[in-house]
Amino acid sequence: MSRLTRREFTAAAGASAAAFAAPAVAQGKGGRIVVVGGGFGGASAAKYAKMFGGNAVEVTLIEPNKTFYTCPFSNLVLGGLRDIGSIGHGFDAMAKRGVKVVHDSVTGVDHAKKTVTTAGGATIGWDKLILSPGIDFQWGKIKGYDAAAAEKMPHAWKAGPQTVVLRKQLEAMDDGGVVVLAPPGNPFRCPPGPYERASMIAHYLKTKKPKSKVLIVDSKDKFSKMPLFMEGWKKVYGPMIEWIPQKKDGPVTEVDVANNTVITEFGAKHKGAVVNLIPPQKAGDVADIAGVTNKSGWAPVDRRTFASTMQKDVHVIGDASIASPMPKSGFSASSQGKVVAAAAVDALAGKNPADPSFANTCYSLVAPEYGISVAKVYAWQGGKLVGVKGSGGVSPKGAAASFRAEEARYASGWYASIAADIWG
Amino acid sequence: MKLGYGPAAAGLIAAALIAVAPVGALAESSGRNLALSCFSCHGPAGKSPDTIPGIAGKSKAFIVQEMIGFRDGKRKSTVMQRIGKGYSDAEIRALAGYIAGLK
Ligand SMILES: Cc1cc2nc3c(=O)[nH]c(=O)nc-3n(C[C@H](O)[C@H](O)[C@H](O)COP(=O)(O)OP(=O)(O)OC[C@H]3O[C@@H](n4cnc5c(N)ncnc54)[C@H](O)[C@@H]3O)c2cc1C
Ligand code: HEC
Repeated sequence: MSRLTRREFTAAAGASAAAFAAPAVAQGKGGRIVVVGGGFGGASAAKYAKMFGGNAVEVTLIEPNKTFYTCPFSNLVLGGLRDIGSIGHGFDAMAKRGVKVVHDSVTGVDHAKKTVTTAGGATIGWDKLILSPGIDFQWGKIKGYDAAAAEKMPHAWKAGPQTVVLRKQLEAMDDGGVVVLAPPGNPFRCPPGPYERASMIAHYLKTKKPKSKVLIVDSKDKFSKMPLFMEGWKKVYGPMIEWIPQKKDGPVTEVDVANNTVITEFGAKHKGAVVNLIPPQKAGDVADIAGVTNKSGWAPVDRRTFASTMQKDVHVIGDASIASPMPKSGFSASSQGKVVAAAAVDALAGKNPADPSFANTCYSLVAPEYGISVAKVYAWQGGKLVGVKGSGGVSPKGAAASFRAEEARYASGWYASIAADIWG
Repeated sequence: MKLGYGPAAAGLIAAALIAVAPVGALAESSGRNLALSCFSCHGPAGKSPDTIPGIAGKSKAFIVQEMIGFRDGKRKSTVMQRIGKGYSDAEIRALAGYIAGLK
């Protein structure tokens, strides 16, 4: 743990008499926490670090976007159930809590000096650095697919402008067209996400362009909640959704952008009126810059506190980290963000952080009134992060329509709650 | 909305300094870590803005009873049984104590 300078210490201790009294304050110790990324993991970490640390802890959140658009529920935007504005969240509440919000991108990390530098030219010091940069793409892994190609064949795997591009293409498509959806192999952000997307696109087509279809050209042979999705698709969409496993044609290896076509290893070509290509992923580039990623492209961490195993006083959370058995989800990232905030505040106060506890639940909509979910609770047992035996699992197969409708209602409740918990 | 974590946590820490923890109880910080994931569904500090029932302002006894009811299948649920099975009795008491102590 790094020491505060005498001047900073006095300032922190003086301020602590005001509004918040908290554990760190009681001990008269604190420090500077810098969080990189204002998404699910980072915004959770920043908000909770401020709540737990009070005035003894200076929390800075660095995020380039003034509005963060969530990937969760972006599939509902594609399906026409929501508009894009309803999945955007700002940082005013965060700033009001006393988190210093800096809209900028981190371009450098100096571990010796304990500073980050930004594209805007700022240098910001930290005692604890929390990185939650999400994902970037492994451009070049799919031949012909680059940032320019993504304007024509959107990935929409980061929400915002890409979501809008894909939605507009769906709206412009003639009835009778084929929407090709190409999900990547494991690991990737949000394992059930591509299949919820297929469902939401099919919902839109069924209501507006019923002669069209969704063709999933997968680079895997099975996927999250597969039996539940298959059951739902058959029931709601019939033959409208077709899924091709990778064992049939091989994984997608190439795109022909001019012809809106994806090409697989065994040479199969699938042309779409609309193509949604989800490329292979890695930790957000700033994790490479910070020197916290290994050859896998992701960041190894000590899963008790999500401290980097490669750099001191740096935590990596969310999609960028290797958090298995936890999946790469917004719920996981937020759960990690809160617990890691507590650990960082405790460490700055000279206390040993308590053992972690995490959870994840991913709701997916098969149709507006048809929700399914997968859940798990995670605990620190025997020096390892494990999924608690007997906990979690998926929604029951063959459940009544009323059960599916209730889970769809709770899915929107979850979205409102987690958004309020993070950005509210 | 303003949450009262700071004062509540400080109060409990102070209490922990003078009180000897009963046998089988978990530390306050463990209760906190166990409870944090609940808020992703039940809203910040348990105050739900939408369709999932809120758990703010509920007593420790109520939360313990409900959690055990869900876990053991005595109360029907869509997801809470799957969540409840992730926690022991002692853990449920600790997280319920933390949630009930929030303002
Ligand atoms: C279609 C889809 C549906 C999904 N549905 C669900 C769902 O229903 N439930 C669920 O739990 N999860 C869902 N997910 C997964 C979820 O979106 C991610 O797991 C989650 O966003 C991960 O959080 P994170 O903090 O790691 O990254 P993000 O939330 O992506 O946040 C990363 C942030 O870091 C910022 N950043 C990156 N680099 C820098 C830098 N150099 N400097 C400063 N800031 C930087 C970015 O601008 C971004 O705002 C879905 C994903 C997709 C694609
Ligand atoms: C994935 C979302 C989710 C998570 C995580 C979650 N809950 Fe729930 N909770 C629900 C839902 C939905 C219900 C309604 C019952 C049902 O269908 O499962 C509920 C009901 C409850 C109730 C009953 C409330 C009432 O007045 O009837 C309590 C108490 C409760 N949860 C406590 C908790 C606690 C404590 C945690 C954390 C350990 C937690 N929940 C985590 C979704 C969640």
